Amino acid sequence: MARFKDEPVKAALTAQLQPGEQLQYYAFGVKQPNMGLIILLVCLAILPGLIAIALLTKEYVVGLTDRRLIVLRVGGGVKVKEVSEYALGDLHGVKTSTGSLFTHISIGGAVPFTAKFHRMGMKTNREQAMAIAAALASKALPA
Amino acid sequence: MTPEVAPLVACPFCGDLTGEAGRCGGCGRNKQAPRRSCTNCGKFTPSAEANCCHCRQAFTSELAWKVPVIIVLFIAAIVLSVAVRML
Repeated sequence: MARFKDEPVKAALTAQLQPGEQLQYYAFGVKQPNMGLIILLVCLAILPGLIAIALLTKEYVVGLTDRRLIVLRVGGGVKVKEVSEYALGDLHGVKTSTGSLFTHISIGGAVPFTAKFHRMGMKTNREQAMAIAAALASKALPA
Repeated sequence: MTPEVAPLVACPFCGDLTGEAGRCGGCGRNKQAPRRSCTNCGKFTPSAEANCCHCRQAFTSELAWKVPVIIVLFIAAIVLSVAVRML
């Protein structure tokens, strides 16, 4: 079941667009705490551990335009907490991978960004995330 | 042939349209810098700044409330499990 509807996500991203900029793809992703911390928290106590992991997980809406990759950190629905942007002509250290469940996107440089994208974010989340990953990988400069 | 003109991009912090190379001509901030929204006025401020550049509200880290909540949860779970074992 999709967590977000397309309209509020598109609206949040459209608010960040520059004049003449076109939104091409958008997807919902998360960044969980590192695996060691997850194992530690769950081993200490399962239910509080799972709640702690949920609290420490960062949620992102990522939009690819013809000029930039816009990353919105969201919380409480699609309430924008933080905005980062990466010019497509100046992407460094991009790593992408797609498995059977997740698409991973990682960007290096001065403001690093890492997130994983699954199917449950939006209706076409996996397809959109894969399209973003492919576009970023083709435009990436060497790290 | 006319040269391609870069589109005018308003500064996300002050709305100024002047400046070049990503730097605002009005407030001097980097227009592409990561920015966060203020919980008080809702406007954007560079993430690197400790106070909102519009209303001067101080930003607090989300961990300031999340870490105590997590600690309380674990303490409650441990106390509960000990209490259940003692019954």
